[in-house]
Parts: sequence; structure tokens; C-alpha cells
Amino acid sequence: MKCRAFEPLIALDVTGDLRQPERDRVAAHLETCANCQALAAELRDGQSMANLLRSHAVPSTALSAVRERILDEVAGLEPAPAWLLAMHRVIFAGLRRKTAIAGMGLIAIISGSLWYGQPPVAVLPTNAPAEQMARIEMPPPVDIPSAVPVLTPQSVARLQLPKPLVVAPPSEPQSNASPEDVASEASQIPMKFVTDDPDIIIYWLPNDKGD
Amino acid sequence: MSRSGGDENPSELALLLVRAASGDAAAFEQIVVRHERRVLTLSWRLLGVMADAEDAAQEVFLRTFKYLHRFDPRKPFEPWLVRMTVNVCRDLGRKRRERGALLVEEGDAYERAGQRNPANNPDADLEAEQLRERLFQALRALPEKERAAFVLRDVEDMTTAEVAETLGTSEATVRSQISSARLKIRKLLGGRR
Repeated sequence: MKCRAFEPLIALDVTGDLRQPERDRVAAHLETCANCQALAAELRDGQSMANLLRSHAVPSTALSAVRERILDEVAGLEPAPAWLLAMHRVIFAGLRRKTAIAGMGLIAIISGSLWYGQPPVAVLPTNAPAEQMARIEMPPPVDIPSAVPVLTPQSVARLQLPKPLVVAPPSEPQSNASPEDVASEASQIPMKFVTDDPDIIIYWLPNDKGD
Repeated sequence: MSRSGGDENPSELALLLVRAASGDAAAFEQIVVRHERRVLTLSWRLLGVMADAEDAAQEVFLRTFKYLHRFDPRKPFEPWLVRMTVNVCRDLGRKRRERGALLVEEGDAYERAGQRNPANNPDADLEAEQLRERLFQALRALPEKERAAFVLRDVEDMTTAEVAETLGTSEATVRSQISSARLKIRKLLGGRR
């Protein structure tokens, strides 16, 4: 760290306003830096000048003049009425004014949003005439789709499935493989049936006999 | 607060505050007598000119009378008063700057010279007076917030936490303002770098 970065820390260190780790860093730097030692000494001198200002008292003539002016001004003022004092103590209940106002505002916002968030409820009088009831427009009925069918072995059997298409493997059969082996391999290729419903796809895994 | 009149009875003061809030002029006068020195001194330190400080102190006590019903008598009174003094001085300083008012330093210096103690060494008095005047000038050159932080911490001898509470800011901000103010004052008073 350069000396310039230490200057604000040294300015705080003269009155012990630093935390221990920072104080240690400043102390370590001051041991090696003559310029910063001089700065620390000047800042300590500044503190003694502040003491000089502290020791200087205001003249008593000024005090009495101010008091006279204040009391003259106050004599012409009306104190706050008693009801205002009582109301203030009840409303703010010892809280700070800003806190109390913020709290009341928050309560108003929450209760307002709850009030307007309610769905409107149409209340019809129980003795409303039939003509008035007839004039109420009801929304059209909505078609509710039937539930997605669950496939069971029986329902699959009822489906009129197309004949399975046997696809030959793309590679050439090995020279030493017999025609029966090739047929057996081809019969184990899974089949995919696409139905009218795009959500239902049927895979057929044939057994050794091709059933 | 470090300087909050520890010698006064808090319950007695609370009673005076309640009486003053309900319009008892004698009780309010008692409050003024007890706190005028603190308010005027702080105003003077913040504004640097006695005439302005007198105006500020008057305004502080008028506001106190006006808003005393808002004050909770169970809480300490002096921090509330100090906060109000800082705010009034800030407003007054701003108005003075806006109007471009010249600071009447000569009159002030004359006033201070009038209260020198003849028993003291006149040369030492003069030197102290000159030093004090230079410090006041350096303070006036500081930004408003740094000046308030410096005066409360270094001259009024409040802790950093108390200064933060009074100025309505964080301790970290106050530390930064104090550090900056000290370095600037050192420079303004002719520091080496």
C-alpha cells in the first residue's frame, strides 16, 4: 500500500477510531515511513488546536442577550393545545414521528391492496323478479375434455393396428451367417406404431417367433 | 452524549419539559437557562460567527417551544436539542450562502478580544486568538457535513456513534467525513503535504 492510501487511516488513528487490524497495519507502516510519521504528528497537533477551540467559552453577554430575545419571542407564541398533546401521545406512542408515519402508511397500503384484491361478489336480492333474473347473461358452457385414456392390454387389443412393417437392417448380412439367423435378427427389430392420437405411440417388441 | 448535563436530575427535567409543553413559561425559561450555553456554543462552533450563532440559538429555542409536544419526555433531551441545533445551523448556513452574505469576522474578532483576561500574558492570548481564528477559517472552508462531523467529534468530544446518531447517518460515513475533515484542516493550516 502506498502512503496516500494510509492517510485517511492515520487521520482516524490519532483518536483511536480504527479497529485493531487496521491499527496494526498503520502501526507497521508508521515504523517504516518517516513521511507518514510526520503526518501523524501534524494531525495530533490539529487535535490540540481543536482543544483550543473547545476551551473557548461564549461570552456571558451573548448568553443573556439570546435568552432575552428567546423569552420575548416565546411570550408572543401560543403553546400547543392540550388536545394536540394528548392526540400526539396516543398516535405516536413514543415512536419517532417518521417511524410512526411510515408504519401507518404501510398499514394503509396493505389494507388497501387486500380490499381491492377481493373478487367482486354479485349479490342478487332473493325476491328479484323473474324478468330481471332472465336478463342476467350466463357464460356459454365450456367443453371439458374427457380424461386421457389409460392403455390396458384389452384396449390395445381392440385397436385396429396396421400390419407391422419389417424393416431390413441396413448392413449386409455376414457371409457365414445362415438365412435363419438373419431372419431371427430381423424379427427382433422393435416396431413403432403411430396412432391418430399424437400422444399415443406403441412400440412392439416381437419375440423369437415374431409374435 | 459526552456533554449531556450529567449533573441535572432527569426526572426533574422531564417534569419541566411536560410543564413547558403545556404552556408554562417559567418552566420553559428554566429549560432555556439550563441549555442556552450548550446551544449557543455549538452554534458558534458550527457557524464560526457569533452574530449568526445568536440567531441560530434563538431559532433552536423557538423550534423547541413549538415542537416540544412531539418530544417524548422519557428520552434524553440533550441529543434531541443538539440534533435540532445542527439542523438549524445547516439551514442558516445555507441561507447565508445563498444570499452571498459576507462573514463579519472583524466584529467577531473584536468581541473575542474584549473578553481577554488581563491577568494572562497578552502575547500568548493574541497568539491563541490568531490560532483560533485560523481554525475557524479552516472550518468554514469545509463542506457542511464534514464540518458538522468534525465539530461534534473533535470539538464537542462526542463519540463516533453519537455523532452518527445526531447527524442521522452511519458510523462508517462519519468516520470517512472526520478523516477527510482532519486532512483538509491540516492542509488549510499549512501542513507539509
